Amino acid sequence: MTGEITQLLSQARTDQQALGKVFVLLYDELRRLAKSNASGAEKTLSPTVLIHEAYLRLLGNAQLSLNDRRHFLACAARAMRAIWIDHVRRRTALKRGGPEQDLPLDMAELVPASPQSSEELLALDQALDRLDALNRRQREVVELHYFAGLEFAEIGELLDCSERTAKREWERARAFLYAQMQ
Amino acid sequence: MSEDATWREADLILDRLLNAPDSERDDELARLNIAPAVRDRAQQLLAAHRRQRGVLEQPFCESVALNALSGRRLGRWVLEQEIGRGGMAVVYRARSVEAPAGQAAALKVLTVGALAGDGVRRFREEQQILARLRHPHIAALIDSGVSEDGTPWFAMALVEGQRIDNWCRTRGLGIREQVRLFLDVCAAVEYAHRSLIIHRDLKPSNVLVDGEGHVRLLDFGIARLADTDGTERTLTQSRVLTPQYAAPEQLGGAPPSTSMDVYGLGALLYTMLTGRSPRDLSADPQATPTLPSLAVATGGDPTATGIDRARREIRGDLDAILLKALAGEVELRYVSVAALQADLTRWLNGLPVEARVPSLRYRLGKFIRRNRLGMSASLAIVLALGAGAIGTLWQSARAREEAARALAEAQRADAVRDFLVELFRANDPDSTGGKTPDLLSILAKGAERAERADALPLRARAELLSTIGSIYANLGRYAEAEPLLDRGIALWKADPSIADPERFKPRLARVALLTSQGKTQKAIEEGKAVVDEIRASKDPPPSLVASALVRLVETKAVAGAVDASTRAESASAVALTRQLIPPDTLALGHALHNQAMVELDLDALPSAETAARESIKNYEAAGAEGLHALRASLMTLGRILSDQNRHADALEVYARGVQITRDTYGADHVYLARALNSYAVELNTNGKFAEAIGMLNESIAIQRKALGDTPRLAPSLFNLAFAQESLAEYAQAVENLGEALRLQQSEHGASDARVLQIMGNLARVRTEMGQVDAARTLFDEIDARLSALPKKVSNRTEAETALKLASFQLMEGHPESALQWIEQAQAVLAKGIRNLDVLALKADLLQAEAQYRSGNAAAARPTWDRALGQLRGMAPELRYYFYEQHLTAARFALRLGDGSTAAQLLAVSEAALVDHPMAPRFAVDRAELLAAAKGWEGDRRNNSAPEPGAH
Repeated sequence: MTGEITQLLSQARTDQQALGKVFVLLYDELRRLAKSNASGAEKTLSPTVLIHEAYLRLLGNAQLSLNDRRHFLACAARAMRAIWIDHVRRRTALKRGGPEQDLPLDMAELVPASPQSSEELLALDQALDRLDALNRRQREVVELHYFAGLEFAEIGELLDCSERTAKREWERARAFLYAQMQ
Repeated sequence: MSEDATWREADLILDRLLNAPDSERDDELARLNIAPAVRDRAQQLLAAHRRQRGVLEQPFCESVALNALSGRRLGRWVLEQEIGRGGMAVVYRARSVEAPAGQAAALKVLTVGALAGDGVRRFREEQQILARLRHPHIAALIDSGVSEDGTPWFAMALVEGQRIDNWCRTRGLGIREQVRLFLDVCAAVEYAHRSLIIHRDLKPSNVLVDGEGHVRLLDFGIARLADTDGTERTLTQSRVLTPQYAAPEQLGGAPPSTSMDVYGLGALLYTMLTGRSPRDLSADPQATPTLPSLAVATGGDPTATGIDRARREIRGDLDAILLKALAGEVELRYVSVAALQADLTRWLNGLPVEARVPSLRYRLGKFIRRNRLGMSASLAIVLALGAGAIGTLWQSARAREEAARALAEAQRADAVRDFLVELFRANDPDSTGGKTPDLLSILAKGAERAERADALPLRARAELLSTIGSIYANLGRYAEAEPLLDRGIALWKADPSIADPERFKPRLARVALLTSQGKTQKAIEEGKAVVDEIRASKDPPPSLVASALVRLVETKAVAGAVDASTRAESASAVALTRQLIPPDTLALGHALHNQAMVELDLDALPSAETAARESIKNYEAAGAEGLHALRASLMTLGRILSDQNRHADALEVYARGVQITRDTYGADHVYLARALNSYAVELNTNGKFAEAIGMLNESIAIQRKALGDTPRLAPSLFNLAFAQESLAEYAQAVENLGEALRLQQSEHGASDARVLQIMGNLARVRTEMGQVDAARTLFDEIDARLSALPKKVSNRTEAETALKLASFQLMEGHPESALQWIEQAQAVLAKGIRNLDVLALKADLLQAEAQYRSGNAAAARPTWDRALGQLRGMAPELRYYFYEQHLTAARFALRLGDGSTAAQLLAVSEAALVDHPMAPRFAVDRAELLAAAKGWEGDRRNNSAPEPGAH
């Protein structure tokens, strides 16, 4: 597995398709991790730790270039977002009395923070897509910060800008997203 | 323009607007020349930017877990909604469902792996230490535990607030205001350090500001608790995502020390002022961070208004302060949080800061390392531990037992042990390999090394010896303390050219030592000498002068040598302590408490009350250490109120003192026993005997368990017997008085005033039991012992005993002997300046009776008038005494043939009898007297002769 991801990541330097594959791998890995870690009944994991564990598990001690690392984390954040939105969609469908879908067992118990937030998150998801069309970097910043829980200093490092800039990008993105969600 | 393009434009405009302070943004937007569609979008963006809370401000999901934690029960808490997440824990809002129910808390569940066996035990012990942290700026630890599967959790006081840097930014606070707010954070950390707890994870997300602008620190010591048996390394690695606020040596795996927190605080202030962390992730931890003033100018994002202004304010001294706090080398950093606070306060006041000068400690550290003693870190810590006054020595006789208790506590305090163990282990490779040394052997080792350390410069040795000596003295180990202090003092003397104010500290410690040993005369002499020398020295630090004065005043008070000059000294100490920068509420509390006791001794009750109340306020503000002294201060206030005859208030204060002592020290502590004792005395004074008995039984039980058969039990037994006697439980009273007598006599000898007092009560009880012969034997003995004293009756206690003796002699028909003793007693009582002295009243009534019986009716009259005057001024709250005295007076009135006065007195005192536990006993006397009064009245009407004694 390690070899595969590393290879994919190095491919991703030139080939965007490879990134997609990294994403798929990560998606599966994260879900698997969540399930396996939770077997012991009450263990909890924050997304940050989860991603970090995935990182360790998938890449071990392999030294990644900054670029590769950036790709990895961006994918991981993307994956977290996808996993979650997926889940929210399914639950919303369920609540509306849609066709009984087979909920994957590993996500069966995820509970959103509050009833409204499911709707809000779906709106956020849409707004993020909109943002992506306008300003890709801002969308990345939001994913890294909100879904992967990274601090602005790290985001700055990954995206090769100052911490201040990263924070500013977040603020601008946030304003746009909220404006879209009105 | 397309929709997309419009938004892009608007976004760029927003970027521009964000460079200006919030208050100017609307105006600037208005000034721009742009298309209406763009303007509209830009306004939307600006409005959206100003939103405080939305979905992006909350975590996007509960933790990713198979079983979400909401609704789950941990201990007495039910988890509700997730409110935050960190690298190794999730935080929920929680509600308690068991008593005390309905509490809200922030419950943090650690996700770092299960604890087992030893880890659980350690966790629980640490929890006890952390729970003692009580400070207005620390989110208190309410509860904690370990779930069945080994997951540790904590419940902390719920803080609704923003991160401190964001809070400052939102409000556009200026640099000075931010520094002031930051000083609150420092105060909290400093308080924790005094309790030997290090935070280790100071960063902006751990410092919240609530809606009222009140700062709260979170997660104290939790970093420490989270690591169990060496998983620290793993933890550090897994937290590698955010290490910008950790001290360099912390990243290198060094054992915890207060300097790490100093660094953390520096990093926090740096972030607040410049908007970025002091160190980039990839940067070398040892490298100097960018000057804050430059960081602000070159791309920082200051929370203050305007970059230029921020830069100007920070440049220079504040730069220096921050860099000193963030120094890579520990020796170059501020040696303590207090030092950092002091420098910041100086900066606020426009005074020169210390940050620019390389410290003595740094130089000393280098010297010691050169000599391979390897004690630099321990020197710093040991010196820090040794500072501080011993606290009020008022009841010096108690100090020894309390010291024993303190030592036991110190030994049990894991924090102290771990701290010192880690330090000494780091510095002493051949130490006890595996076994944990106890506090005493660490000190002994330290003392031994200090003695042998010829290579150290004189000053360092002197400081070391004095410090260790002080620690011994603090623990009550006077035998070990004395030689070390003497050595320290001698070393300082050996080089009179040294002008370091440190040299006075061992001498002050020695004054306290002498006082505790009862050598009060020497202590006072030495104390005076030290105060004079300090004042005469060059630039004495005001805190030193203040603590020297406080020490001197305490000593005089213990010696009973309080006079007008003591009053001036204590007032001086208070004034000096008030001026300290940074303010030291604990020291001010001590100074004020001392003043209260001096004023009390001089019977200046209103000023005593003012001082006592203010000292209480200060102790309340001083956290856990203040709690210890608060207890003593409340007891003093209680006494003051009682002396003013404000007994209801006094009872409240005592009750509060007992409650605080119980909450702070638990149900087995000797302090609680003492508090219960004081409370019981007041209850007795108010005639609430049953309650007093309950308190005293508890107090005695505690003392027996903690100290065995100690003479200290005598006062409690005596008070208990008094209450029992008042409820006519004579047999128990006799038993307790017997034991009290035995204990007191064994310690203080046969002619001790208290011994005689106990005997007096014993004799009185015998009388009430009808065992007159036994009583007589006792009284004869009392007579003999008092007569053998040089001054016979020289204090209040002896006066009280003399009156009991006189009373008995009167009863036996020897009024002349009685009169002699009464006069002796009155001579002492006359010196008192109290408004209403029940004892003096008793003396007068007794005297009138005695004079009458010895045939001197002429003298009896004025005495009687005087007594009656006092009686009329008596507080009805003193129900017990009230009734008793009125009854006695009525009896005497009848003797004088004054039936109407007697009837009056009986009528007035009738209210006092309602609900009185002794009512049945008095009822007979009362009925007799009433009948006699009426009879006399009847006679008068019949005879219509002038009544002797009519007025």
